[in-house]
Amino acid sequence: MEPDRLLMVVAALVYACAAALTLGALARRRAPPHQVVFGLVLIGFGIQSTGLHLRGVSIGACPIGNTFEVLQFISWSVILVYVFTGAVYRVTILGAVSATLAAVLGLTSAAVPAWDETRRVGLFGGNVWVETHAAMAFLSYGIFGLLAATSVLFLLQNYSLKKKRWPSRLRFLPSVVQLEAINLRLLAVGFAVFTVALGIAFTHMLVNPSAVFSIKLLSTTLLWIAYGIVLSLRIRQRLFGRRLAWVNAVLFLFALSTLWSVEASRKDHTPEEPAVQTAPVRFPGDS
Amino acid sequence: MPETPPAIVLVGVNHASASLAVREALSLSAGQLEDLYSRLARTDGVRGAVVLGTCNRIEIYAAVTTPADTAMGQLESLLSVVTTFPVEALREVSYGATGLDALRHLYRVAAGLDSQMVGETEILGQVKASYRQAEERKLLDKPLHRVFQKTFQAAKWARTHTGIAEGQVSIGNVAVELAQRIFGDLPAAKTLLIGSGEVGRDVAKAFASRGVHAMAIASRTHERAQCLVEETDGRIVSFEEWPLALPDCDIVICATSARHVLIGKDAVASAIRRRPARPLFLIDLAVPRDIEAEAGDLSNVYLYNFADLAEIANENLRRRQAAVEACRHVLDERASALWRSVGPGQETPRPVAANRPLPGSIVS
Repeated sequence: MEPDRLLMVVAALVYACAAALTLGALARRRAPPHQVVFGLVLIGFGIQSTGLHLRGVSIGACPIGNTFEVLQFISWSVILVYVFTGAVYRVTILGAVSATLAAVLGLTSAAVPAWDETRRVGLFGGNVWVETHAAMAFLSYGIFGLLAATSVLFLLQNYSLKKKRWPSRLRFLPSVVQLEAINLRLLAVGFAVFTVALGIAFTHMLVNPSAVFSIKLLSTTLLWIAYGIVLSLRIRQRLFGRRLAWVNAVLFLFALSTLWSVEASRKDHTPEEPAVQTAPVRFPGDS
Repeated sequence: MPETPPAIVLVGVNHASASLAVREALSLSAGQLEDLYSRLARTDGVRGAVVLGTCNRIEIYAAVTTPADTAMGQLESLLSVVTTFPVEALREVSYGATGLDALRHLYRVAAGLDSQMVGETEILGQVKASYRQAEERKLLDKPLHRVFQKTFQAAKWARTHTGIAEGQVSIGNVAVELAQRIFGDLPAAKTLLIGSGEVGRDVAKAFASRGVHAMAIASRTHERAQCLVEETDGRIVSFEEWPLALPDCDIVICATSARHVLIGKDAVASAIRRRPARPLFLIDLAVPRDIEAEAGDLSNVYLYNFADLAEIANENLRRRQAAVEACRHVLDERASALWRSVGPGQETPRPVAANRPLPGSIVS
């Protein structure tokens, strides 16, 4: 296994350890070891950043050229957001949620070797704006991923309080008010980052219309509109609490589904883009 | 002839051995406590002593060089003299233990296993305070000092590693815990108490103890409301005006003796419409209920009545009690290990003939 890929897999395993530590503590009805979890997440983040950096250097671009890299980048974004959000809100359980999400994304990406067989060298043709657009778009996906996770926590806490079922493990969840505040903050930040990403894309489209693909354009624009409506309704206090949490979770599933259209657009477009090269990679054991 | 190393003896009464009236008669004022310590310091054969006085128990742990039976008699006499409680009556309700059994009892007391509310956390602070009082009076000999230090470690271990202190077991604390799950920090939550019945007072005081201030109190009985205002640092709201305050409140505690519903679903819906994104926690402690049950169906409204809170408290208590046996076993092992190191030059515990039955079959 190549060093960059190996580092990213190791990082996913470190995140999995952090998640397991928290879940283990909760299973024993103990408070999660916050400092240990945070330390492990930081170690994993360092390893993953190194892996992504190495990959970026080897392909000469931000490493978001295939499904493996995209999932890794989203997982890295989730942790990046947690490192700041977790510190602001001092929410122990958020570390476990972020680590779990990052571990699932990271290990899933590594589980299918085919997702990393094609490496697009010089994917963005040296265009910094396109690269920035792509990186910011996936960063916003990471934020929306964390938003979906905190929304699930909200649903759990709300269900427990409404139905008067109080498994002791849930006592470590953040309060309803705290989760609502975190969700609003993540929604606003995610939407802002996504807006900048799409703004760059539209600016690029004006210069080079053929470089922007219709399915991708349609799906991501729809997603942007959806998040925009949700944010607007939340600010006007028309959508909040349980309904907002459900919408956040469902919208993230839609966001994940748009990754397919992004990937499909890339594949469709590849023959027409002379700057794009592919570098097949062999894994140990491949014949 | 070499001096006999001191042995540890215990004499005491608690909620299981004596009635409330007896415990009240035996409770020590600051002056009486001072008097007891000075008498203990002057008593022949007493090398160290710690007096533990709480609302549910008074116990004397002493390091003595006299025979255990004699020492126990001396301690009871001293307690009787200081409190002017007849010594014969005291002996009818007191218990005693020596050596390992006294250590085991102390471990269980400090861990909250011997408390009326199993697992309560205040007792450890009270044991520590008693230890400091004895230390200030230079009434802690080396073995007694070690025994108490080890006791604190064991009690802390029990709280951290077993479920004996898990979950709240009083109605007030359960309500506070639920409020924390909704609002997180409570000091910022605006709270309204309607009625000033006994349960309502307890719950209001529990909230006040967690930092809720300026609690609005609406009661038809002005004197009771005034009394609660002083206890909770709250403010009085006219009973006719509390409906106007409802939309601004985060937590509403109802504990009136009204025979009809005070807060209907429509009133709650109207209040929540004016602050839709902020949750509203309704606590209905009244029987019959003050708040229409259907109000709990509204989004962002969390309604709990007395039965709901009692069920949580009972469930927590059951969980604690399930952890007691395992905890007791480990504490006994720790006490035995300590006894082996501080026991007065003997491998096995002193004969327990001097023991008088400890309540709740503590000696095993």
